[in-house]
Amino acid sequence: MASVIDFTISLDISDILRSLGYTNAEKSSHETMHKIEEIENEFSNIFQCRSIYRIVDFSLKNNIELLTKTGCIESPRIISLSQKATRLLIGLVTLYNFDKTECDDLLYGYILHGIGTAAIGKAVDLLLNRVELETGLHTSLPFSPGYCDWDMTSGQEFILDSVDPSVINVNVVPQSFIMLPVHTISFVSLMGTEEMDGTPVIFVI
Amino acid sequence: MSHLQELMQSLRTFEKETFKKGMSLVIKNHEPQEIIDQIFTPGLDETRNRYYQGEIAIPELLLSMQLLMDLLSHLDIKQVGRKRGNNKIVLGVIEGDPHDLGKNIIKRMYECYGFQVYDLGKNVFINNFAEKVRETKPDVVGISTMMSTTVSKVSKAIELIKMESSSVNVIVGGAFMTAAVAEDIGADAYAESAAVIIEETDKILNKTK
Repeated sequence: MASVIDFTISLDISDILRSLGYTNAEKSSHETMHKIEEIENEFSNIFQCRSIYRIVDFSLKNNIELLTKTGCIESPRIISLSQKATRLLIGLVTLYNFDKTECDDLLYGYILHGIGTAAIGKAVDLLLNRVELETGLHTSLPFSPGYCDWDMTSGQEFILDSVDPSVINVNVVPQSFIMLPVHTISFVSLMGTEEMDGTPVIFVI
Repeated sequence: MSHLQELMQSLRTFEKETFKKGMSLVIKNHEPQEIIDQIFTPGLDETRNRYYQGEIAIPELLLSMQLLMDLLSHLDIKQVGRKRGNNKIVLGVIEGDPHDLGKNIIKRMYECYGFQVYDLGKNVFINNFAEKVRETKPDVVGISTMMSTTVSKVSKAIELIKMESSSVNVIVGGAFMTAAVAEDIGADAYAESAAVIIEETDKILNKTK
């Protein structure tokens, strides 16, 4: 059975700057910092996220397919990491009450998008931390379809067959598998008794 | 330091208020063409280069373009020479894709460099690109997609565009595009980011001259 959890996210300035592409915080101009503050104040630095996830058993077939009751994953990277795992978390996280209609100010729009991306990334971290506490298992970093060596179409099909996006008011565009609201992440995370290492491969919105 | 140098300095340091004050002085004391030649064009080139070198991030690139476009809007455009005033570009994000932030940055860059831009927006049906080509007879069509699942639609759109006009050039970009993918789907060029879009566009324009 899938679980639904809501999160309220507050962001640090370092989270936002990283999301906007700054490798060095000193590089951001006064004007950029002012715009960030303006948007943070608009939302009172409170961002609402909703998640749905399911933890399932899996088996490996010939070390090339990871099989669950709802489908399979064919990604060498995920298969390799799964050797140490016992279960698989399949999740969707969305940031709601955030998407805005057309915005003429490109700088504002870009920063808004960066803040949304930072918030949704943090929500995924919070979800995984919570699951670790509840299950006593370690979680791997999240993997999203379309990145690493995991095919976008089959990956999205696998996730959307496992968790119902409509439960958290996420709409999926047919064929392209784009999820709306735009700030939505689909991912899997491997779970096991040992710490999971591996490159973070999360969908960049 | 002259008014022009002061204005250039405030652009380099992204001081919006200082730039706006300096802009009034410069407009009052200098000819439009001089402002274009000494502030607008070198300022734009320098900012784009700083972004390309990793010295500044996208917000500062956008801020600079915003300041320069504001400056341009105060000049009598008929009095100034713009290198690419006659080049027309049709831009759009392919059907099924709502991500238009990257396309909007590219659009701003084209506008700054004087291209005439026809923006079809996001989630553009493949037929609409060809229809706009018929209507506007552009030099270049720019198509963007952030998704791997919509690349086949870009390919189909290119096919229809080329059927409409074999001389129009198509440039593609987006998260899943690469030079190899661009070639595979029949595009004339690929632009990795806003930093190189002008060079890539100039290359294909010069090739067809």
